[in-house]
Amino acid sequence: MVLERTSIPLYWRDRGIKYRLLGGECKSCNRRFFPYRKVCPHCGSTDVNKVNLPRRGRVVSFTVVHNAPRGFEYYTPYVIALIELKDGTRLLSQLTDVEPDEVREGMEVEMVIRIHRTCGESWLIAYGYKFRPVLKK
Amino acid sequence: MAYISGAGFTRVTNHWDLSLEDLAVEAGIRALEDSGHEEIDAVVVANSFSGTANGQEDLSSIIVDQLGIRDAPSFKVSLEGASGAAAIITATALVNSGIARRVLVIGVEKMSDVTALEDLTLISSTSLDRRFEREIGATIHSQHALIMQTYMRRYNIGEEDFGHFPVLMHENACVVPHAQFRYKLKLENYMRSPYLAEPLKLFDVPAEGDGAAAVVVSERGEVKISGFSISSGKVMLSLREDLLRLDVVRSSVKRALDMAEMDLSSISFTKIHDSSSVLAYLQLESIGLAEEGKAPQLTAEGRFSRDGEMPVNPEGGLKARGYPVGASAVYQAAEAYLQLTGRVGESQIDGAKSCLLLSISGVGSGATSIVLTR
Repeated sequence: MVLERTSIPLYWRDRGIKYRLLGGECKSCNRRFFPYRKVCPHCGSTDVNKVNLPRRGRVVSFTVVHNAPRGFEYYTPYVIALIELKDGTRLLSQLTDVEPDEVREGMEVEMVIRIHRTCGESWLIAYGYKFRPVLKK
Repeated sequence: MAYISGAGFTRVTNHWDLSLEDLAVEAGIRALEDSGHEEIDAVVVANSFSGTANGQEDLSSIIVDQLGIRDAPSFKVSLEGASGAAAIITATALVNSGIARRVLVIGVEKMSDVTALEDLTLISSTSLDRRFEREIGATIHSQHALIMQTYMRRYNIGEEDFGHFPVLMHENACVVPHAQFRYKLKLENYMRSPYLAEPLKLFDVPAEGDGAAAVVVSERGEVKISGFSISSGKVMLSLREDLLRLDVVRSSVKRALDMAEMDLSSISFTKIHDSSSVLAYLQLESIGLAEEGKAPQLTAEGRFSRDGEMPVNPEGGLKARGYPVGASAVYQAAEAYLQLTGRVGESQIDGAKSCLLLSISGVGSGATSIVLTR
């Protein structure tokens, strides 16, 4: 299916966001957000700076996915978590290096780079952020 | 002013023998017959997944060609689950502005051509932000599940409380000939259904179903399109201030009721977009039919049953009548038209004079409201 494929340009242009958690910091309302975009999602201002967001945070809530979409079957069951970073910015991420039944709300997590999926006949490997439980404080 | 002057639809099910355009043509012919073969001067097609699920774009041209309508403008309107409402609202604007006198609106969806579950999950999840939700493995089900988890925490309720809504929908659909699932669902069977994304279960969400529905929107007719509105909001869950606030529902319902110069107390029945049990509860609360956190209890007590204070989804909703995504809001309007003209048989709500139709795109990215009056 065409949809499950990806392409190098389509993925590569998001490298700052996917590898470095590039977010936005609004100079008008002083709030941060992820991912970076031109217009602040909170107040609509275009006065937005790019900022690398902190790599640590905690799990706000999570779900265990049992029916994966094409491309993610290998990881099933996997955890999708809503994460709040140290600065209060929220994002959605897969958790890794942890069994689904070990995940708890409030769990401290840190960002790592992992394979998101491999796709298509060319076996393009898409990398990006995942979060894992913090190993050492 | 615009009116509905005819309606028709197919049953919602896996129509193995019918193609995407076969279904659309079937519903279109039925609606035209019902309207007394009015001459049509525009066709608006509502559909969400023809490109991804069926490999067919320029869909309205295909359908108009096969319907044998010549020389009428046509186009497709797409707003995922709310496509049908966006199409009806577009048709209403064409009639209200005098650009067209009679517009045929056809909603169609054909998902059973996609036979692998993984592909269905992928296509159903295309309303998520591709880059930062879907590409990390989030699905339409994971998003509903995160909202459900939040609802359970905040109001301290259990998983069984989400079963009341699908139980009611199945109950309603038992007497509806075109419904996909005409059988009763017991709460214990709801509880036994497998997890799609914990705590969301198989029976919390509709199955994929093929179907097409059509209405004729005209300058004259029996049922008036008194109010309508579309609201667009935040797509990504992580950017929403509160997962349990559907601001798009609040604003679109208010604007549609204001346009109709009506309030909720004068509405005879309501149709909501039960793409999951928790989304159904949030809509009931956002419309103002239940206090926050009280929708499960009120559903169990019968307030939203067909003979209750405010009947909701008398034909069984997305869950049991079925959910042909892009067509589903046209089903709402077609069924409501038949309700308001007293033609639905066993599921008839006696004396119904007006209704509110609510649809949702994504998991609350957008909302549409339509008020119909007799």
